[in-house]
Amino acid sequence: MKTLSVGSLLACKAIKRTSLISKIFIIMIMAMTFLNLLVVRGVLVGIPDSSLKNVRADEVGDVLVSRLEGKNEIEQSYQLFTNLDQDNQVAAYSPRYRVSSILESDYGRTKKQTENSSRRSVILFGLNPEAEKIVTGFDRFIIDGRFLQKGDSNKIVLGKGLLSNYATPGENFTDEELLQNVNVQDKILVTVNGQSTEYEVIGISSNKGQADNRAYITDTQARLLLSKTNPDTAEIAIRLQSGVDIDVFADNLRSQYGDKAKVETYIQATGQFLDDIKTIFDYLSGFIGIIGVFIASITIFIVIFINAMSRKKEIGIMRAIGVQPGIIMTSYIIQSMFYAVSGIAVALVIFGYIIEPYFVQNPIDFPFTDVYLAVDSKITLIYVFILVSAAFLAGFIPSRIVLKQKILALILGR
Amino acid sequence: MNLQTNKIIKSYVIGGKPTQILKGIDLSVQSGEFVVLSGKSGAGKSTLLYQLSLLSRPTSGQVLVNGIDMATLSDAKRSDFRLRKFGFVFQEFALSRDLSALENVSLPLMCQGVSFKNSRQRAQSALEAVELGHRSDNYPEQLSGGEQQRVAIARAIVTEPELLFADEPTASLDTKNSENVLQIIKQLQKKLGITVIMITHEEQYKTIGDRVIELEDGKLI
Repeated sequence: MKTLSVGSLLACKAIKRTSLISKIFIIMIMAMTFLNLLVVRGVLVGIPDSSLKNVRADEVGDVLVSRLEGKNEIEQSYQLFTNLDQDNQVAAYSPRYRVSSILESDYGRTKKQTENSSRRSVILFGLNPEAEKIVTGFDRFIIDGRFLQKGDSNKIVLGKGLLSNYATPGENFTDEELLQNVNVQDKILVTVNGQSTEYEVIGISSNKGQADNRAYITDTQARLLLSKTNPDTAEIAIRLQSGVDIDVFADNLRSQYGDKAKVETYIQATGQFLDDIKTIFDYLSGFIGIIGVFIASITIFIVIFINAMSRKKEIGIMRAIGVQPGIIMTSYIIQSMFYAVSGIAVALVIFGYIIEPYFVQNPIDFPFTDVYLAVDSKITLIYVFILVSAAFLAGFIPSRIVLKQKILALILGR
Repeated sequence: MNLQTNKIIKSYVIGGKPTQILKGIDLSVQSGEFVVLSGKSGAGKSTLLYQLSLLSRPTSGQVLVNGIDMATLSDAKRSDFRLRKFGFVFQEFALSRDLSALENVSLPLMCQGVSFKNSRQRAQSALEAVELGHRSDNYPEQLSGGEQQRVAIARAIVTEPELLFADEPTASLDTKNSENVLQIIKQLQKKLGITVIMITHEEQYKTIGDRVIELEDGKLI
């Protein structure tokens, strides 16, 4: 207690008497180091994290039930619908039909030999518009025109990546693969199983994900195209109530319907790829961060070491009059910790009030997703612990080096 | 406090060769005595003072304080002994530049575990005893050399030591300040009844002590 109180007093006085410029300089180095830790990790982990969140929010929901390999649909889907309707863990679900089709534009006009054919194969998704709005908020992705409504007949929504008028060149397909000259209200030809039907384009969708490269019609239209007499669907996206354990829910569903359908959490549905990338980027950012922490530690070490070396005589006198080494060491450790904690505090304020809000307003525009900074309070606490521990060592080691010397060597400068 | 030495030898390795600086010193200082250590430069005055004040361990021989062999104490015990029983005044003023005069003087008390408030009160009294009560908030660089040395004396006596070691306390001072500092030490020695061992090589200041011990080439003469 005495060691701590007297050591603290010496540290406070030393900090107070250090020039303001020096204090600001050291604190800013610590702040920049800590910001580097947070931002580098935030961006690196933010890329797969944002992608994963977007896939969950925009496409597959919390749990995706899909047909087994080799099957066209989920057998006895009706039974599954009944169970989902009765399960109070389920907030909503959206059944989807998949129809292989060929889309064609400019089909009413005779083309020159040099012109592209303007045909392409596309998977048509048959959606229940109201259910899809709840599960994925699909209407958010309409960039031109409108989304589907119940009762829409021969109406189609096209992803922007299918259309030469909307696609970013080179982003999704080469120009030869795009449907030419298609705008909202234009007609296109949809061919399924050799039967061609004219559809009106009512909307263009984009979410930097699958919605860019798919085409959407109502579930009723899809059943007609498939000549279906049962309600069995190709996939069901399920949105759970908040707080429900997704893994447990998926396991339960799998145990009941595993022989009829593939049940996956959103992480499994993305092929585990993004989650693995997230883990790799976590390690990578940790490695980069450690370099930053090392540099910051060396900086504090040098500052404390130079301070202690320039005060060898003063330290020697203190020891001569009986001031315990522990008190002197505590003083240097507290000084070091002060700079680290102040730097962390400044960094957290800058991060919380400037950087994070900026990225929320202005996410990084990646081709496949908008990237937000990944912020994890547990990881942040670990970084705080690492930096404070490094600062502890950066205060401990130099003071220990000086205090190991004999008192007379310190006083006489030997 | 009685201080006695028994055949102290102190050797250093200089230029790769062991060199004896103290060559078997036998010395006895009685409680309340003011002893002046004198001798030419290199005679071994400071080296002897460092052995007596427990800042260094002799190569051989004993330092006995009240009959206790100081060689048997650990470094921590010797540090505590210095804190509680000894006071030090060094050649140069040797104050902590981050602490005010009052804080410099109260530091040994706080290290003894005396409360913050009590430490400051006693430190203020010690500063007043060296006629610097009005400069208690000043930092070392705001004080003259003589004032800094008086603060160092206040720091040395604030713990009410039994033995005060002064290593050429006037070496960095002009004549007026030197006389002033020595008078303060003499008055405090009489007032507090403490034992003083002081080094000086200046002839005119030797008479301040009760006894002068001369050293030459590491031996008493």
